[in-house]
Amino acid sequence: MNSYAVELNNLTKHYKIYKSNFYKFWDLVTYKDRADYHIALENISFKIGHGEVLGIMGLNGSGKSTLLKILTGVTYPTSGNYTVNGRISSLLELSAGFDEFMTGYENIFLKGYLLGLEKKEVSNILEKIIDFADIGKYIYQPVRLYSSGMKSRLGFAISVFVNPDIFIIDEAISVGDESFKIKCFNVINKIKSKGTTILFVSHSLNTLSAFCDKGIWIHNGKIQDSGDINQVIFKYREFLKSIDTKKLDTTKDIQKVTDIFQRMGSSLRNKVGEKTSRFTLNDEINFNFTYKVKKSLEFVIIKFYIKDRFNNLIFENNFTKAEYKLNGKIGTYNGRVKLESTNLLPGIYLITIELYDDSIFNKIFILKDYEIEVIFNTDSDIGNGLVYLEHNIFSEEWRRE
Amino acid sequence: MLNFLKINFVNRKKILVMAIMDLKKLYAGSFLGLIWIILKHLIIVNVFWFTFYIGLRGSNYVDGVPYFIWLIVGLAPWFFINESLTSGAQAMLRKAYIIKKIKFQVEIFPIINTTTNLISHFMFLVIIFGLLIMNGFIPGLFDLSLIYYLFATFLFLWVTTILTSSVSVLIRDVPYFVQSITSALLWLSPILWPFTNLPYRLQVIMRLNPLHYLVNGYRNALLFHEIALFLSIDTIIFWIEVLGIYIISVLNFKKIKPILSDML
Repeated sequence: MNSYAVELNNLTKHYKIYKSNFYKFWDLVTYKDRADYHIALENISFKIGHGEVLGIMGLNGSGKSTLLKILTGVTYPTSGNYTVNGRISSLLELSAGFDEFMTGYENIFLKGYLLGLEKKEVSNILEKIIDFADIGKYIYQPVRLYSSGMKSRLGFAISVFVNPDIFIIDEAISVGDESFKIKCFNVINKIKSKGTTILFVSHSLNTLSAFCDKGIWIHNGKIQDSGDINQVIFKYREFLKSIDTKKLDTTKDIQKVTDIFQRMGSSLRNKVGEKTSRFTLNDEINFNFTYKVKKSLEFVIIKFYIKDRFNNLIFENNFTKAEYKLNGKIGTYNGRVKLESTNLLPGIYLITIELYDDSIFNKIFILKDYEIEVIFNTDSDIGNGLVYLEHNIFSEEWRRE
Repeated sequence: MLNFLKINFVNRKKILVMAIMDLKKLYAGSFLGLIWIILKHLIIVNVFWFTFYIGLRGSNYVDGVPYFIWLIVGLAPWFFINESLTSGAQAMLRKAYIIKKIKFQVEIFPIINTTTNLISHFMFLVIIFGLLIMNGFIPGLFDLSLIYYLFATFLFLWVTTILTSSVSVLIRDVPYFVQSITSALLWLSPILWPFTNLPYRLQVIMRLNPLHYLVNGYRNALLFHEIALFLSIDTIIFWIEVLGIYIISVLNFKKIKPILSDML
């Protein structure tokens, strides 16, 4: 057995774009080349060991799908080479390879054959598939009568139960409802524990970080970063932030906002007033900021929230309450959000503070996803998780009433 | 060249299974189902018989065989050829949902299409044998030469389908072109009228037409039983043509294969 499940060497893929189909054909016959090129992938090289779970991230159109298409053998690279050791089952699209006019039952066999199974092997997993897909009587109806949910359930069931060595999951799973998603993830976890190599493409960074060991970030057809999943996700997230603010700068709304507000500066300070972003348990955390109101407003609303690094909200203030309405007259103000004894346990947290005008339509970011690190020290080792919850323990002798 | 053959040979089981699936699918959902394969052919045969025998007052016998029998034996291979070529031109286009999504030996799609049509052709042949026996044409040993002609027709259709199905991915006009040509060939080949009606010069040209070779072969195998035709120079011409088409088809296919899924 080869030591790698998937190995890519300088993989490049160009798509030819022709003005018309005639040129397309004529080039092929005459060995000439008059096409424009779209570079989908450029010099991609990486290796995936057996049993590894690789997360692939990138913006839309960055080349993720092309990469998966090449790995599954649906399309061919322009140059470079790759080796795949083992049977690939892919969830590029859950309903891929379904014949609309055949029944679900027949489609199970069809897809089984397409994936290279014998009739016997399909019969063996047939029951499991039908059971998992859970589409009842519809299994004997043509697939064209299925709802999209039924199609994806059946598709997922087939792809999973063919016992692949390498499993490719595209965004596909995010289609179903919550209970189906949970079912899917349970099965994927099972496959993972069996030691199947998995390639996982998703825009949900939380899912990626939960599932994968390694990560690859593709940008404009090139590998931007690879390595430990959380490290890659961190860089990718930084990048997402940067394009987000760039976009905001160009929108008209913001230009309006600059007529109303101006952000002057901000800082994170501890109890003593020192600038820092590192705190220990129960420290007092101060967010100081300065802003200018350029147009007289009835009031200014402040909203802030804290999230963990997987984007789970820990706390957000109810900004509709009167206490969050600040002075809105023209002038420059110093603001401060003071968190006394935060109860945050060691880890990295992100805070965002936003100011809104009285219409709650225009906002400025005072801070956006600003990182706070609560550091670990042995004195404060009082539990695990995100937040420390006040608690008391009682114990008394049990007595029959 | 040989590799292409090998892929098709290795996957023969898969080809048969998928061909049967395609056939079932073709008439799935209709009341009469597979009976339509026979029914639609019988209707057309009767229409032609009505046109030529009743309408145009043709002769009742061709070379001593009743016109209806002569007609249906000649039309049988043509039905096979017509359906196989017209559906064959779209063999890749119709399988886009597989080619674009799943890794698969695309080499076998042409032969799957031809096999599907071969199976439905078998069904029609059963009817023809029934008709022949009812009319006193008891099948003899010579009828076995039909197997050779079946094989020849199958190979001819297959090699042509390799070419048309792959080129039609690039040029979407090909299916229309194939359709027009095959329907024209019905009238231009000696299927509805006897070959001997042609003037000598045209006869020489007509012998290059593979359709003529096959239709004539069917009639000879089932009706006339002449050993001479079997061994004629026409056989050599036909096989050279098939080999030529095969070489062009496979060379062309090799070029198209890498970009197939991008173009679909």
